[in-house]
Amino acid sequence: MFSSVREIFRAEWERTVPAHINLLHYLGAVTLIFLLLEITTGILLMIYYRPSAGEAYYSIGVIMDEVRFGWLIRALHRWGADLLILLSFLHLIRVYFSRAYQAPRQLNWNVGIVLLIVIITFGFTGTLLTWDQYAYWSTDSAREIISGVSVLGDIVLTLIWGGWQIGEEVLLRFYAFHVGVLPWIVVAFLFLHVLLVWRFGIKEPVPLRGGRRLPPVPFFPDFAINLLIAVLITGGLLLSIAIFIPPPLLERADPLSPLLHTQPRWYLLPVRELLESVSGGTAALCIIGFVALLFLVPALDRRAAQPTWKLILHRGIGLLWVVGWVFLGVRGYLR
Amino acid sequence: MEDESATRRSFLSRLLAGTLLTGGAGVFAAIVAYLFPPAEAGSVLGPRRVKIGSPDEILPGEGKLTLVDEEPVWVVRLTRGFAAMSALCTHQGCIVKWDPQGRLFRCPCHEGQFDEHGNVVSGLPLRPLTRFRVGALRGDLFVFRGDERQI
Repeated sequence: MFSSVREIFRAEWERTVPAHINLLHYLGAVTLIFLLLEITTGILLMIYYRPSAGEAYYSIGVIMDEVRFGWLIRALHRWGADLLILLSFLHLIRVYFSRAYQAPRQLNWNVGIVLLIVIITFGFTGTLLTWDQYAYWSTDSAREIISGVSVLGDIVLTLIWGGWQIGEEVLLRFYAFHVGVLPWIVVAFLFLHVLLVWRFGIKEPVPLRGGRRLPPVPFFPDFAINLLIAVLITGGLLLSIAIFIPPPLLERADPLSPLLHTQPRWYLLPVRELLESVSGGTAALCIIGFVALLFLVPALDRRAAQPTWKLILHRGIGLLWVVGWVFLGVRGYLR
Repeated sequence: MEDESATRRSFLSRLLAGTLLTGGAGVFAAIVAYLFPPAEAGSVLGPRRVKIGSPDEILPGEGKLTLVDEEPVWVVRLTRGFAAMSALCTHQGCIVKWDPQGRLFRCPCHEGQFDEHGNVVSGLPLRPLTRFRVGALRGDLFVFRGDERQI
């Protein structure tokens, strides 16, 4: 039995990756590590956090002011969540433009989309848990955004909010989703995602025109060292942000004192801007259409060799998505 | 060539393992420190039991004035069980006194009166006294801090 285990390790040790991969190919692995960091810091925060309207805010204060390294754990969790969502978006964009969703990786593309949606929901449900003025009023603002989306908004509101105004019940509901429901979904899909990457490997990038295919390079040390460097750079960035920019904690949530000009979290800004620009029904169609199109991408682009005009169209659509999304976000932020 | 490659690989292996071990040790130490809550965190996150004596020390209808975390607290033995509440009058913070005959807390400053459960009976106070949970455990009487409520 031990010899077979040794064989498996030996095979993994000798694993190879395509030679043409660049820095962007490490985004997936770095995202995975950030997700693990979020899970770890989240479990640590649960030790002192009290999920009730009366105590949540004070328990965050205790974590920040009294518990050793509590401020750091919270800062890593808070800023790490933002970076995780950003990295997930970048990873998605990289996979789209390198057409790594094509056979045999179609399923993994769809699993990745589900993971992105779950990660955004994680960020959204986590925002309320600090129970300060920003948490309350940004969630209230998100509530307005969601309720503006026809049909879909009502379903999401009933599912996540339970139909209540923000209060103790909603805080508990968000907490239950954040620590009791979403982690299971994320772990299940993450396992499947990693398993499929392990099974099919990294898609070999097409060499530049005239370039010849290079033989694959060993996973270790070539890939592993570069991955370590990528993790040290992004981890160092996160640590610096966590140390120099403590996550804000405003006054305790007060439903009778609205916080003026509250922005929702940055990843929800494009949705709000969309709602400001079009009617609720059109916004619902846009969002459902956008997500459905994302799921359908592997079915719409199946052949590896495509005529040049199709490849240009593929890149154009991708670029339009990214630029449009960023444009809506920036406009929403400046509003 | 083969040997050079093996040397490079083993060097990078050690570098990788060393980096991970050093970083991991730092992270582990921080997590262990985080798991040991300082006293301040314990007192804020409560509820915390504060022993105030034996139940037999207080006769039925009598009260005992005690200090719980430097706050004066009255513990009164009712017909059934005990009641504990802050001795600070909610009007101007004077220390109220227990009157066993009238079964009332009386404030000497402005004659505010509270019943045995801390509710305002008469006078200038608008809010009841802050109540604490109180209970006997294995022969000792405890007041619980951290979950006091105003009723």
